[in-house]
Amino acid sequence: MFYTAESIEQLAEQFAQLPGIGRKTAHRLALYILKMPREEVETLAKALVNVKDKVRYCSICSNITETDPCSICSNTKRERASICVVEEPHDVIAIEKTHEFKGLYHVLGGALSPLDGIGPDDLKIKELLQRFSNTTIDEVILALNPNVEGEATTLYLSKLLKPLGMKVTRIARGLPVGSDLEFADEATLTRALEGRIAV
Amino acid sequence: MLVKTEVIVLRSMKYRDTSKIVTFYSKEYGKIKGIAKGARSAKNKFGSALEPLSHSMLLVYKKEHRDLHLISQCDSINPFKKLTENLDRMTAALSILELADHVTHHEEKNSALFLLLVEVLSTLNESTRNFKAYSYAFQLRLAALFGYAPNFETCSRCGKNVPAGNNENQVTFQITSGAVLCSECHEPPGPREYGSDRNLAFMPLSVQGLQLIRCLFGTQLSSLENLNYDAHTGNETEELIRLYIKYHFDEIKSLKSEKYFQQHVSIF
Ligand SMILES: [Zn+2]
Ligand SMILES: [Zn+2]
Repeated sequence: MFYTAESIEQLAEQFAQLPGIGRKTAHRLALYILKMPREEVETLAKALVNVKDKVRYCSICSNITETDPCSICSNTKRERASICVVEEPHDVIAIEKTHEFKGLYHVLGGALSPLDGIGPDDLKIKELLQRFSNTTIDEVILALNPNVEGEATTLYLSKLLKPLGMKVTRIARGLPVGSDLEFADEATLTRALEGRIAV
Repeated sequence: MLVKTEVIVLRSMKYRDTSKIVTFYSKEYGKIKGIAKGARSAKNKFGSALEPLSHSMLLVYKKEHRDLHLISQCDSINPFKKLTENLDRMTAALSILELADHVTHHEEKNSALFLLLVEVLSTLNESTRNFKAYSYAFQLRLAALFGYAPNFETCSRCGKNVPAGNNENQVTFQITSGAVLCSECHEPPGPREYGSDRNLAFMPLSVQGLQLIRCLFGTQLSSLENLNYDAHTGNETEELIRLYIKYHFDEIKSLKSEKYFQQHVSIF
């Protein structure tokens, strides 16, 4: 596709850089923007810049936030003795939605990946260790993705944290609610058996 | 065409919101790549069968002249679960995958390499110690599969069997030819034939180092965990194999998992 208007081309090119957006969709979005009222386009542009200007990392938990410390870290009702370690900010949102966890979080910003060369220094692990020097932490819950990278990170962190004398736990890996047991693969079923609890 | 093949999963990358692009080493087609739609959602049909290090049965829509095929189904044969239960064992296993990925080309069949991968991963999965040894044993066997079999038995100059020897009779290994020189033909480490790095043409090899490297290359993979050696011998052997592999496979500029070995895996 080729448009005589240079600026449409430029905008489409910007959209095409976003994840999950192909050339065709990018052009469709650019033309849609063209048809939008000017005020709406300005609101959109401002929202884009605001994200960059206002959002930063919480100096305690490394989650994304507009206030530092973030609303979770500064909430006095949260239990301060347990920290749930996750890979990304969206994992915090997922766990918050359960209303089950009352402690604090720590966002690593990814997971260890030997195959991609992502090591401990590329994650917010130093920042995690720093938190133990100021306050007493009773339990660290590792809530990382059940894949090779998450597994590597879980093993690494437990090796690192256990000598510090705190309880280190990991979330259970098992069957998704609403699924049929007979369709579960062996690895999931094995892990579900290992993680069984008394009823 | 819908085809079925046994695979080892080499790599898995997130794609779009819920999918994955997975690289396999397959028995029938060599290295192939496929897209698994919805593989990251909690209710996906693939389970652990697409996780790196798994031994799985893959059902894939294979199209001619395509690099990326659509994965129809993938079932676990053996997830090699223990490989991911220990960081050192996992790093050794991942270094094997990374190397296999680096030295192979797209859809070039090599079933011997596939079988070697299955064997080394399954023995490493059952092993209790010497995890690094499995990676280095794999590397030597890989070199042999590609026509660069090293010779640790007979002297490349006089043809005599090289005895295990003693500490006075220094044996050397020539990186470029992949052969040992006996203590009589032995060359001091010198400038010949190895590009700009003057010390690498001939590597001195201690008695213990020679014994260890013979074991790594020659003994059954399942008995590697019984080997006993000290850190010095391990490091010496490691360095030699590393240089040898780098010399023969230009594709390997640097292996990312190697950094991990150096930083996080306890000596050999
Ligand atoms: Zn915070
Ligand atoms: Zn000789």
